[in-house]
Amino acid sequence: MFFLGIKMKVFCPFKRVGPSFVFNLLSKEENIQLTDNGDKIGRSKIGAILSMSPTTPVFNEDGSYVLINDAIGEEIYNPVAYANEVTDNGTSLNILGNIFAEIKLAKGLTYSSKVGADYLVYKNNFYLPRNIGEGQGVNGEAKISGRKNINLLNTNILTYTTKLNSRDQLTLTAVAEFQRFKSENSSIRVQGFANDELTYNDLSAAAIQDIPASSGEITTGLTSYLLRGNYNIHSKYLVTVSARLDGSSKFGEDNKYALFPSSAVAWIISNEEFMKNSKYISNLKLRTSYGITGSQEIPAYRSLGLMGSVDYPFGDQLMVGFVPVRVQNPDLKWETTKQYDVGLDIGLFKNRISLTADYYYKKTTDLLLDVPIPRTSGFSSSLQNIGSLQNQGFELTINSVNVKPSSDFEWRTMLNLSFNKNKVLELSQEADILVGLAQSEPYGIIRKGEAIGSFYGYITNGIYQTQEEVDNSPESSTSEPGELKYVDITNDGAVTPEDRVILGNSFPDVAFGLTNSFRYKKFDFSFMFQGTFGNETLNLNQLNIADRGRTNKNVELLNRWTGPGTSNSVPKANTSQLSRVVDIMVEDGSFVRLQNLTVGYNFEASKLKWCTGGRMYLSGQNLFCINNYSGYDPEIGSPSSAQANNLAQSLGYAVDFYAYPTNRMYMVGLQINF
Amino acid sequence: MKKSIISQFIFTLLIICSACDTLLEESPDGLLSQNGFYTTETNIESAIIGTYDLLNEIYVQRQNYLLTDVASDDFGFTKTNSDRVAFEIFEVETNNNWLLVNWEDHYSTINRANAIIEKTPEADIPQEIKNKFIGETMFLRALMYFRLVRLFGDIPLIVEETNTLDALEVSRSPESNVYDQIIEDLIFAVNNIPSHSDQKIGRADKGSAKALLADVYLTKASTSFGNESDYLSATKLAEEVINSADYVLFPSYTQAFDPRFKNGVEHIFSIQGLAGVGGNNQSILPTEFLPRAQATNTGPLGERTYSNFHLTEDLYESFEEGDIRKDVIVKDSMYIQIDGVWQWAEIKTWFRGNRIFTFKYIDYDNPLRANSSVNYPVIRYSGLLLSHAEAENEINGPTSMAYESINKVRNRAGLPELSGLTKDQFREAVYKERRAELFAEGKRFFDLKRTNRLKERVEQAKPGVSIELPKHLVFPIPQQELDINPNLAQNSGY
Repeated sequence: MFFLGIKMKVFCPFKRVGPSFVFNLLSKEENIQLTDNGDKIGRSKIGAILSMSPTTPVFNEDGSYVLINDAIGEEIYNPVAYANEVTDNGTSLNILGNIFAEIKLAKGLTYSSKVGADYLVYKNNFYLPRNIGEGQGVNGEAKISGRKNINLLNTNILTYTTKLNSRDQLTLTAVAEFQRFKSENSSIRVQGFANDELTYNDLSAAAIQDIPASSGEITTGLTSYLLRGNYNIHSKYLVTVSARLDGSSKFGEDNKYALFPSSAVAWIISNEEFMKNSKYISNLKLRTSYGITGSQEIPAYRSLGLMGSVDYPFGDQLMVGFVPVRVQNPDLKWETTKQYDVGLDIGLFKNRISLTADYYYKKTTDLLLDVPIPRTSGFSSSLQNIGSLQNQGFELTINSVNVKPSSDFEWRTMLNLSFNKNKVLELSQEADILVGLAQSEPYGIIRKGEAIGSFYGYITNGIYQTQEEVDNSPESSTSEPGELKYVDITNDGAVTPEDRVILGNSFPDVAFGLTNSFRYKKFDFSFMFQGTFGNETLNLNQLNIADRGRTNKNVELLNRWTGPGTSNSVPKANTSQLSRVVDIMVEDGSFVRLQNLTVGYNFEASKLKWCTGGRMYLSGQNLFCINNYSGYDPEIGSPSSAQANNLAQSLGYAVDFYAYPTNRMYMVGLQINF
Repeated sequence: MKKSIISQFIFTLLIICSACDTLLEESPDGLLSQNGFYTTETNIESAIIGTYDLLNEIYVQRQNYLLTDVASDDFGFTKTNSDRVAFEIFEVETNNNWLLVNWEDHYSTINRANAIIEKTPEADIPQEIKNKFIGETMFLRALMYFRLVRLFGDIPLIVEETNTLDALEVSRSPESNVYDQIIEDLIFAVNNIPSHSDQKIGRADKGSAKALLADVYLTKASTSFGNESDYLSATKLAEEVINSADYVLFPSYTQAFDPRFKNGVEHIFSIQGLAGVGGNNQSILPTEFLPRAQATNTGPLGERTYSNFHLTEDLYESFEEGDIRKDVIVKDSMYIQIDGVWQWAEIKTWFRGNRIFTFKYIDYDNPLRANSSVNYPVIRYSGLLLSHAEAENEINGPTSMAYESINKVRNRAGLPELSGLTKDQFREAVYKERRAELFAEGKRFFDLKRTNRLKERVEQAKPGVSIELPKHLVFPIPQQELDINPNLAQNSGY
């Protein structure tokens, strides 16, 4: 990965009044295909690594890649060949510009305005060579895709501050903000190269040019008007009241605007007379707030019924047609969250120990989710306001200076803990909403009264040992000895989809972060642990590795059932049963990770004119992870697109389907201060 | 100085605010609105093309042959993927993904058709053109419902466009209602769709509509709500197609599948494939059916194939002595070019099944197996002749007209003409002829179901497979649809 950042700041000579200009240029180049879960070929490298036969070498004797498993005469997906030979590079250029001005209109009244533009150009080059996998079938494939984003933002703030008397202060703020975002994209794909020399650099060298190119456009707009009052009484009581009116282009014609009021009160107890002389307590603040916020984090145009283009060949001519691509939803509106929060800030021993504790209750209504709809409608999903959800929890942060800073040694510790529980309160539809796709089974469910990221599937109870056992079971007609026993939850004498239950969820009961930092003379040293407890991860790799006939298997299959009494946990080979999501795939996802460890050395350069000093450092990330998970890493960002729909991705399900594990990274750095 | 800065900013604000009014309006530049789309002739024409779009996916990519040929006595699946083996051994589970994608594509096509049928009458274009458009669209809607009703039994019958999220939880309509709708649609199509000579290449025409309707009647005749008059209707329609002289049989059987002769004299309606255009439009039929040689990784034209589907021994043995249609079938070894030398090479052994494959679908101009121009025949003239012979025999017995139809097909296959059969013997002869003529064309499951021979035939051809009736006459409704729609019930036995 290559990264270059240049930042320039140009200040106007005026001190209080005048424009300022920030120009930021960012260029980034990266190789995408290594870490992409479901890459452009629709295959996962981790999946290929896990399923490749250990007896198949990577290279033939002549140095070419092995692409056929000779033992079975089957084509294989050689992960080394793909990693080395497939090109998938993205480059982006980001330019940010801001013009800013603040004008003092009268005593205590200032007006400021900012106009910003964020410009991004992105280009992706892809080439699948002629000698690998699907590239063989089409004689090489090249694809170039590009994107251009422009984000314009104008913020206008009018602030009035006045001291009502020597100790009370009132601040009134009015904000008007306008944002316009436009994104344009295009891509072109060709096949049929004579050699692998020119690739995406000369698309005209490809024989097949008839694949339709694509392009698209997205424009969104956002307006916000805000009124806010801050009242500071005697520096002991702080009151904030605000109301904002937000308008988003993404919602239905009559639902674009929503009003979001909020209020907050804080009492700084430590500023009261009776606390002023406290020996131990240096800061004590009690806070409470109530407010409503809105979310519009959805793609554009989702309330509209739109037509998209498709194609079909008639004879030797490809023709373009138009079809409805989405059912309109003019009722689409803001997702709103009402939040109540009580918090306490405590500083002890001259703030050597500071503690922040918060309890919150959030109720989200009109939840925005892209939910499946009956396919008989002609569509498979629709973005809707589907129900309400509550989150309540407790957060605690402790900062401690264990050894007081001195010239030689210093030690600080920071701990944060968060506890959260969520529950679905209501659904706008009668049926539960099923989420995701594991082969052809959903793996998640949104059900009233349950956590929103719940896994869903069958409970198993060991293995059928004998035919007699099968005959006396609810699955007598479908199962065989050596296969998993599914539990007939409904007790109706058959195992049916009604027997699926909730098997856990991806949300932790507790998440924590613990950082310790030390300084000894010019050296500094810090480490940070991160972890979660009580969350589950769905290991879908089990499903796939077990099911595929001719691929590598989990080692545990060596202990599979081979006859009565041989195993009560690993089914026999060659069973079709595992195409269901079952409890044994839902594993404990708790982990503790050494997220960061850094050693640094600070130096001064008093003799140099151009430099005042700097720091050299060595840093490692994700150095180890303690967990009980049977796969590589229980912490999954979000399920890969191959096994998820938008819904599963937006809910952040921890589903491991050949997921690329968290990188371990070592860094050497040099920082120079001018 | 101060003043000029202030005025500059006021100017900036004005520019931005002038856009405020339109800031929240959504008017996509790259997508068209459904409102007002179906108002012009060109737009409706493009919507009809869009309604054809998924046919490739339904018939070819989504492996129609799993449901209609593998789930019969004709074909087996060579690999071990349990979701596809399930069709061969009739153990299809309710969560089978091939069912779901088929279901989804059929109903998407139906919704596209419904939009055209509902909105075209309001367009300001001549009535004659409107009827032509609606007729062609109704053909496509009927084609979808005819497949759905035979695959799943009672199904949701939706004839209105989905333009609201209300009332999506539809329930199943009785088969007979679905047949009524199919027949109503096809009668309108027959009366309004352009004739064979006036219609554009690859599109449904009057002949396609009549031939499909003849097949619908022939199938309906065998249902509990069908009767003798359905055979009569089938005969009449088939005769109209025969008498139109729009179609004849190709001199050679292989021409019917050769892309160099596609959309030719024998083709009444075909799913169109075109190499080199990407996506679902480049046909994968050759890679699915062609065998691969044991000696090499390359197939007959030097390219790999997946060889997913093999013929059953039962189908292989069913051909009469001298039937030249058997020439497109190879067993155990095939004559191919390896390293430039023509030679006999052993066919690859797969994990399951035998080594009998067909060369029916092959594109000599496009040796890339997954990228061919092969069309998939939905209705061929020979199929229509056999439908005619069958229906005629059911009403009037083996008349000379019935013999003429079946013997045309037999003549081309190099087989002697039939004569002097009883009604029952003739019926058996037609069944046999259909199998030999139309194998691998998505007909067999429907034929066995229609003629009440599914259990007998499959159990004989595939030892170890047991057929339960009536369970196996239909596939299960996809579980994902039941999960989301409480008004849908599962087929019995699943």
